[in-house]
Parts: sequence; C-alpha cells; structure tokens
Amino acid sequence: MKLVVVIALAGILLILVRRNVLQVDLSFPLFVAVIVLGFASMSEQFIDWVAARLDILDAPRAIILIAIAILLGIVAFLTSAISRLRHRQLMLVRFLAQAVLDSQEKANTDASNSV
Amino acid sequence: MTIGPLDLILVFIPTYNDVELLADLSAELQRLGTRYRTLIVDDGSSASIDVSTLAPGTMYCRLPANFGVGIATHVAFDHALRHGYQAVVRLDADGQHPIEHIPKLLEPIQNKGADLVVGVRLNRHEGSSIRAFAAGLVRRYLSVVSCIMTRARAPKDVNSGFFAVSAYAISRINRVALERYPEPQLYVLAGRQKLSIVEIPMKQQSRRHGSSTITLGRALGMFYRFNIFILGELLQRSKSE
Repeated sequence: MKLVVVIALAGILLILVRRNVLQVDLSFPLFVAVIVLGFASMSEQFIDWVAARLDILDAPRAIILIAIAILLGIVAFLTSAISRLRHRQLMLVRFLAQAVLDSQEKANTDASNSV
Repeated sequence: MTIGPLDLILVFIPTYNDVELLADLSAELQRLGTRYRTLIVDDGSSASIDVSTLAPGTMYCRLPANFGVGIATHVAFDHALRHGYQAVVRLDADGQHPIEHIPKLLEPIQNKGADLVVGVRLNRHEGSSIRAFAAGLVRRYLSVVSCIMTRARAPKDVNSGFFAVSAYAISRINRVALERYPEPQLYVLAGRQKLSIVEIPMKQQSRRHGSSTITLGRALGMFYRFNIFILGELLQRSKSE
C-alpha cells in the first residue's frame, strides 16, 4: 500500500509537469521529497538508524523530523527560485525603461541640435 | 573624477503617487538652463500623471509596478551612463529639496573633482512626536554604522535624498543592486569605494504635497535590509582580507 501511495504521488507530479502546471526545474525537490519520504516510510531500519543518530526515543517520530527538514529544503529552494525570478524581472524593467527613454532622449538631442 | 564644466546634467525625480508638483518642478528645472535635462521615473503610481503638463523636454518613464526607489535610481543611472551625462542630481517629488541649490550641489564635482555631493539637512532632527523621536534614533544608528563602515567618509545625513553624483561614481555604484530606500546603501558604497564625498548643508523645506511613504512596516524592512547589507559588506571585507 505504501508503495502505491508513493507511486501515485509521483504520478500526480508527473502529470502536473506534463500539463505545464509545474515547471520541471521546480518539480525536482518535490520528486526528491516523495522518494525520500517513500523510502523512509518503507524502511524501518532506516528510521531506527536516524532515530538512534538523533537520540529520538520513539523511532517513528524521526519521520516527522525528516518531513520538516524536507519541507524547509523545499521552501528554501522555492524562495531562491522566486529571488532569481525577481532579479530577472528587475533586469527586464531596467531594460524596458531604457528602451522607452532612448526615444525621448533622441528627441531632446534632435531638438537641441536644431536650435 | 570630473574637473571642468559639466555640459550635460540629468536631474532625476523618482515619484510614487507624488504627482501634484511634477509640472511645477519640471518648469522650475527648465529655468536652470539647457545643460539640465529632467527625468521623472514614476515608480508605479496609482495616481495618473498628465504628461502634457510637464515642461517640454522632460523625460518620463512609468514602471509597470512599484519596485522601490532603488530600481528607479538604477533606471536614471543606466540612462545617464548610456547617454553620456556627466552628473546626475536626485530630487524628491514632494518639493522638499530646494531647486536653487542644485548648481551649488554640482560645484564640488565641477571644480574640486568630487564624486558625490550630499545635501545634508540641517533641520533633520526637527519634530517632537514619538514618530520623529524613533526616526531620529534610527537615523543616528544608520549614521554611526555608516561612519564606522566607511571610516568616517559617509555624510552625516545618510538618509538625504538630495545629492549629485558624477558619472565616474555612477559607473562604480551602479554595479550593485540598490534597495527600496537606497540612500544609506549608496553612501556606504561610495565611502567604501573611496570615492570623494562632499557635504553641502541645506535646509529642507516642508513637504509641499503628499506624505511620507515610510510606514512602520517599511521602516522595519529598511532597517533589516540595511543591516543585511552591512553584514554582507563585512563578510566581503573579511574575505578580501
């Protein structure tokens, strides 16, 4: 059953990417999250190993910690993607502003030359 | 460094919803002479500007949304570098900065080779409200930190939006992304790049129109951005050392 859920989630992500709802680069951390959480939920040894490393007495709680860590990673990844987009948007605004102002500057120069 | 007559000067006015005085300001600037050209950068105002009321020759550019004074400043700097302006003067759109002081602001660039001339407001500490007190504290903090960061090269009034900057200084400063309220950042950058900074005392006039765009939230944002910028500069310095 666990495997079915993991495959279903991965399938949904794939459909979203195919329909251009999710951009392929931005879907990467989600795929990684599904794989890691899927693996974690299916491998008891892995959870026990993580719990032992982090001194967690109740081993299943390690999954919550892993999920939070993955969520933080996804948020950081998406924030950096938005920052990159914002930077490109600002560069574009500056470029377009120059295009608008160039024609006005030319008109000013022509006017002062004719005087 | 510029020593000699300045033939082409760009006077740049960023505006966000301060539209009432633009026609008067552009007319007053036109009276300064033909070597001055005015550029109004509308930072996505919701109020509409009637471009036909502006003095002839005034350049006008409207940004599609509100991006902050930093981007408006970059637009002006980009334009100045692209079209060979020798200096840029920045002026507020609310009528607080005395236009008759502009030639005085340009004098040190023209005669002494200064890179940046800042109009230091003598009456910046006026006001007795809690808001004025809090603003005074923040200004003092920004001033002290800027002073330390630039080894006392930064002007006393690091929030002054009335300044003139040479083309050489623009080419150095324009490489760094300026923030929403970029004045302290700009002066720290200039000071750290060892550009020559001159202060000209002046009396800021009372606002002829509009109100300050700096709300509590924006002030906190400005404070945060400045500190992050300073930390970044410190890290860069320790890395280069």
